Amino acid sequence: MPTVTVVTDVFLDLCLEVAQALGFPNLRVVVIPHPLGELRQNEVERRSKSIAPDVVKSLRASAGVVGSGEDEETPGVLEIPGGWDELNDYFHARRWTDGLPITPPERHLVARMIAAGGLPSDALVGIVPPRMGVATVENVATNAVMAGCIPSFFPVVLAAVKAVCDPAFNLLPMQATTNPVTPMIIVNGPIAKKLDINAADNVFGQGWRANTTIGRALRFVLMNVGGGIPGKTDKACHGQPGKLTFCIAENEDRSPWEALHVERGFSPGQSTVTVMGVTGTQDIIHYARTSAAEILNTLIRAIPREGYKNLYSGGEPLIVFGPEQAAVLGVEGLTKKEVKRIIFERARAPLSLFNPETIKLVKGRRPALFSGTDLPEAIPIADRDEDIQIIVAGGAGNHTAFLPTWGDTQCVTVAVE
Amino acid sequence: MVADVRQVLSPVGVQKRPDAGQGATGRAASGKAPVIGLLNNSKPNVDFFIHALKPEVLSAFSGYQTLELTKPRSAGPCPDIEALAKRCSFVINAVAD
Repeated sequence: MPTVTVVTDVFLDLCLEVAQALGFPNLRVVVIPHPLGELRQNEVERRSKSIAPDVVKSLRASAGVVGSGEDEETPGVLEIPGGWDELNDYFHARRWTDGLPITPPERHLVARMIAAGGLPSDALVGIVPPRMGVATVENVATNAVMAGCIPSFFPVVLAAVKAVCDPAFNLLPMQATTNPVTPMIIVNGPIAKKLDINAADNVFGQGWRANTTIGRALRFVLMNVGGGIPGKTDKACHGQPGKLTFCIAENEDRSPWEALHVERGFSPGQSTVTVMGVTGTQDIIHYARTSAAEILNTLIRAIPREGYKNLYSGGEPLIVFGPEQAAVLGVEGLTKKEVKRIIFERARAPLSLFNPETIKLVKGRRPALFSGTDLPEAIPIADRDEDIQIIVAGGAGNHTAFLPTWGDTQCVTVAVE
Repeated sequence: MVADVRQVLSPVGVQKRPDAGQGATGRAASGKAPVIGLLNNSKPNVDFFIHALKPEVLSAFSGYQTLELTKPRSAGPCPDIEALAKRCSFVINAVAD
């Protein structure tokens, strides 16, 4: 079916990259100046009419040729003259790093990493968009070495790559979007302590080798195998620090509830990785809130903000209770399910916040909210109470963290083999 | 003096081969009245854009009808892509913003 694709100029690289990866190297494309979404209607119409002749011409052109299906040439082994500095310069020049130095992925280091995974080097881990790169155990190991992982971390890295490649996670648009979304890795089960994956003090921050390097390895796979290059195919407007690395363990010891992986159907003794597409972190501080009602009231008033993607797209927003806050809720006998229900019912943004165009967009993406005869008065942060995700993590202090999520993704949990 | 050379593995890997059958075939839908599909990716202003484009395109393709479809979500595939492919001779769509 001959197709003409209209794209704004800043997204042309992304359009061509994905077209080529999906077997449409001769996709007919008509380019218009960016942006379109912020223009007034008469300017949109003027721009549309101005490119109509190009659209017609493209439709009339002979059909595109089916892609040859040949793989692009990618040397598997690189010989780089010079020392550590020259090697890092080489990798930086090709945008194969995050801006920080990498550990050179020498054969013996990669082999040692592969051995820790217990799988053949050519075993398929997943297909990583937008480039549709084939993630094998070997190239995931290569990126894990670069990120500074030690071999014992590798099974967790493999599980994380497998999880983000699950279709339910919806990685292709996530890699490309202007949104700051990044996969967050949450580790559960015995492996968290075994590998010293931090679940407590400064849990979202620096200081733990496992947290920092496992998250970094995943980002390297997304960039290097998947081709998610900032400014080219990764069109994030601001991005976020979590795009460098974002990996934590749940503080299961300090939680009054079942762990995330148990909630999602795994046994407590099984080690798992859950990935969630989060758009940032918001600290919510509970001053002198010593009851469950006061803690939840603060949270409910803090989180349903205009501008959070969950309001427009639904999805699975994440709440990370600090252990002290979770303990108060647990002592008062609130189950995780009850906490979710309370937040779902009360953490809502009034529809009057939104203009008619935005309401139209929300209606398209969250039709179930508009199924009644009247417009809803307020919009919840998720479509169902069970979509709200809750874990316990962090150290001492009267804090909860709200992590809005992208909305167009579902979290995925994978066992660590 | 011979410079050191470090041998390392590439982090990039190969691309997946597109599945057989993907790619434009140039085949127009047969039998029925010719149709141009207009696929709205539900980004802001795309509806105005398409509505302005439609008469311009129809004036160049007389005898054609149009079929308009809107994806429920921008960040997801078109759920009715097969129906679109069966009914349309051509499709005009959008990528990203």
